[in-house]
Amino acid sequence: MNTLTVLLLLLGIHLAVSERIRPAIRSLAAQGFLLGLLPLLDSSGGGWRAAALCVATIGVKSVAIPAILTRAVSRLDIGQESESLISTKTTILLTGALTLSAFLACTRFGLSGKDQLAAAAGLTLLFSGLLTMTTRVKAVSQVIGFVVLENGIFLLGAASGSEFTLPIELGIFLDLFVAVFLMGILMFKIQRAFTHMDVRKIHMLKD
Amino acid sequence: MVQLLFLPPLVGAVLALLGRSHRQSALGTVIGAAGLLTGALLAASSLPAAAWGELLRLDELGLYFLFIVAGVHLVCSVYAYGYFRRETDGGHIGPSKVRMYYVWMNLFVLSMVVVVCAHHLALQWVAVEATTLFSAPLIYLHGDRKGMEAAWKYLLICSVGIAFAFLGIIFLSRAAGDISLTYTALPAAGGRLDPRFLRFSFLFFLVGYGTKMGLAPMHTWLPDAHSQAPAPASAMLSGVLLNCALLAILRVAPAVPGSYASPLLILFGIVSIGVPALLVAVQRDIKRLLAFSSIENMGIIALGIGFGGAARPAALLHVLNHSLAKVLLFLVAGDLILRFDTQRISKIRGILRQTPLSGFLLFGGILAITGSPPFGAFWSEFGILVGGIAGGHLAVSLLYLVLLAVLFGAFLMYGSEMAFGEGERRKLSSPELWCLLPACLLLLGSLWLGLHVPETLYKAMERLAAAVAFS
Amino acid sequence: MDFLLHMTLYIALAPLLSGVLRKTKAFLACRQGAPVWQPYADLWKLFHRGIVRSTSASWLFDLSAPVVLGGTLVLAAATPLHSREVPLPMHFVLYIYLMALPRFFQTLAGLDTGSAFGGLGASREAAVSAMAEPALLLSMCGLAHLGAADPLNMFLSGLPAETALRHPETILIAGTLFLLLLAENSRIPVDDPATHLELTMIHEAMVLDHSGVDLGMIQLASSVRLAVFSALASGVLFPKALTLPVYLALPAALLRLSLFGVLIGAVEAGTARMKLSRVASFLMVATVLAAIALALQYAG
Repeated sequence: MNTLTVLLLLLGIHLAVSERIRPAIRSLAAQGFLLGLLPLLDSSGGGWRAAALCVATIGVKSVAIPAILTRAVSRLDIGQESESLISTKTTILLTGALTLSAFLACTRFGLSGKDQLAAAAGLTLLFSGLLTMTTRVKAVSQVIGFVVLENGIFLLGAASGSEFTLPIELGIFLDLFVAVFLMGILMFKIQRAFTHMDVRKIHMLKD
Repeated sequence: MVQLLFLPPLVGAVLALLGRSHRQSALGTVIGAAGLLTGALLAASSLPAAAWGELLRLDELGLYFLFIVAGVHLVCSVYAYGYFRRETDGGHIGPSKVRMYYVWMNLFVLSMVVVVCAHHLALQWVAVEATTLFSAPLIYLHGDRKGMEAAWKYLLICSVGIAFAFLGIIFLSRAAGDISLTYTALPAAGGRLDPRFLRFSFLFFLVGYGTKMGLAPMHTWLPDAHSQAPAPASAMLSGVLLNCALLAILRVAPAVPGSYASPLLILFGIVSIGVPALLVAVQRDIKRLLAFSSIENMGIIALGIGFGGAARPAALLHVLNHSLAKVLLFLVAGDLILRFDTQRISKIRGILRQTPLSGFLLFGGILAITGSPPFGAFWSEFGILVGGIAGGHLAVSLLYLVLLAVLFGAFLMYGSEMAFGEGERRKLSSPELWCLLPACLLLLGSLWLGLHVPETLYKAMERLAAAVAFS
Repeated sequence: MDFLLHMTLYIALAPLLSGVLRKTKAFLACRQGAPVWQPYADLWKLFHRGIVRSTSASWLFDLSAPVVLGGTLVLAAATPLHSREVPLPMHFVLYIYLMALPRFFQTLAGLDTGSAFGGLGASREAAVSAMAEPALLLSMCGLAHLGAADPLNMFLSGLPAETALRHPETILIAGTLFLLLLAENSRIPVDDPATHLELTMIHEAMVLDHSGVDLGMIQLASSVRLAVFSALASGVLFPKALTLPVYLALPAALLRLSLFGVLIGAVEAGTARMKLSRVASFLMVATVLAAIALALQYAG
């Protein structure tokens, strides 16, 4: 569990600081796979339920979503770099600061041990997802940031041991998948209409 | 039998998909909407009704919102027939897109019915997220650049917002321990919840669902989405969807005692009234103008809920008043936009002279939405003011009054320019019966609620306010 | 006796590590590649050659190769390879300084001959090692803290045997050490040891003027340095391997070093060299990781 969490954290940091899109998508897939293993490790859950969650998580987060994103990257003329509004070094420093603050926050909250690590890692992913969404320029990167943010929330959920009935959990996955799917479709349409994927330049609607 | 309520929208979606022509798709949707309204009426007799274990439960509060959903949906589907007939005649949109409009709209309504009936907080979350997903295709229905930009913003901002609400659920479940996350079990558990986690929980819920509800400063998606969607979809977004997010907040608030729910609602409420008051003066697009009015009204409702006491029933009543007036305005505005072929306020001039009925409806709608006396919103806004003062929130109440006056002035200015102003005379197409009839009904409804609030309705509001007791 | 075994092990296994590394790289590039023991043959060849030195070189240049090898061997004496006991225990700050010493002399020698490439390589090498410094210091602090009982002795000796993968901070530190290994030993994302274009070289440009026995000593020192880093990182990851009895510990050491050879080879084959300006970001990530590891230790 701890090892898994640390690997998730490392992948999250890689996602936050990587300058290229494809490695980021690969990291995202790896992250989804590791998240899928989490319910299996939790011994308290029933076998069927854990298996179903594992399959759903890996299917959606590790296969489907990366596939959509990869397709978008290769079909659309997006380019390799995931351009950012701030420099890579600033991003690294910010990510480090966010990670530290996540750990501090969890300590302040009185969590300890395994819980604390998972909660802090989840919070870090959440922060870094937000960072990616706010600083990265390309639409694909924003979707990646969104998925990282969701992963962080999942990890937080696993840390706090929140369990819902299976239909609801599956509903959550379905929602996430459809959201990314829709974003993928929109990416294609935006590309066709605007001939670029730079979110900075999409600002016809403003006050 | 609650789950039977899901049937009408589903049937509507299937009929709309199978419909060979625009007329058939529209008819299918209207049938679905009428079925939903009938279902709501039937459900009213046996409350509270539960189903699927603890997942679904329809109580009086849910029923109130369900009526709004069903009613607005019926009105909008009738209107949509006239609206899209004009659009297809004008060659703005193809028949397959129109059919998809009806399909998505029915699914959108289905997800909102689930929101209304959900008893489990996580199920409600799933349904609220589903509303985003089903309504996003409505926004970029035309497939133009602006629509895509709006849909992109809508999808991204609302998804992130709703993710925060999920964080709230996680915190709440941590606080609750073994207690199931239903909105009857949680308030009953009261003191057994872990207060450390509760406090953050409501904040996340408010930020998350508040994004969906259009509270400032998370409102940025709203003017874009509302201005780009086709008029009946805008009306649904503004008149129903925002209410659903509000309902989610109302469900959660009693479940998280000691989380400063009321002060937070007052804060977000007054900010949401203030932001439109600042921005409304520079609007050039008629639908953006209306969208800002939606933000304002959601602010008013949040403020009223936050004030508590006598303001709470008034705020709940304002939900209905706002829906009536705002849907009316969006419908009339959509009609005018098609006939004048522009969304710019400065190009829409002299409506009253050129097409008297539309002009009358628009001006009436603007009076209704700003809370002028003969209309229902006056009483609910006034009730919130009185409740605020009685509750000891004197400063906020005064600020509320000032901001309302500013907004009233601005809207009256825009309204009179559009209704009476001098502009180039155009050759307008003839009025469309199916567009104007629903709008007339809504204006009459708003007028009726202004002249005479039915005793039963007012009693019901007081019961609902008692049901969402929190401080 | 122990000392002799330890040092022999390092000197004997270090070229093998380089050989495995090159073989892996060749294999992943679908080439035949030189045999695994090629580095031994190279060293044998170099140690039987005379020295050609630049006319403008001074005594500093003659001094550099022995100092580089000597310093690296002292470093090796302080780094556990087959057991937790090391012949030469030392404080971790001294350890870090000893890491810098060979580099310092190599840089001086690179500048001493006055050739353009030597100076170019020296300045880049100095820049890279300066940027690696914070990460190195932080990760060593983290290691020292892990074996907190006695920082004056070598840090790994205090490492609890069961840490392995149970503690997140050890993984982070091992990760940092691996990134540092790549940077400090001129491996691919930072520097390309096999490049033929002098302009892009870092380490190789600096030692361009060395030849014969001198070059042999420097190459041996490079191999040992790589082995030291590998032993350190693998020791943090698998502390249990350090507690085994000798007859098991020796194969274990061989296995760990070969494993790292394969790992580094795979990384080298799979990544492209970064431009020099990106090295800073790379090492910054290492620093951040080390900082998080430290913070974890204090928070948890």
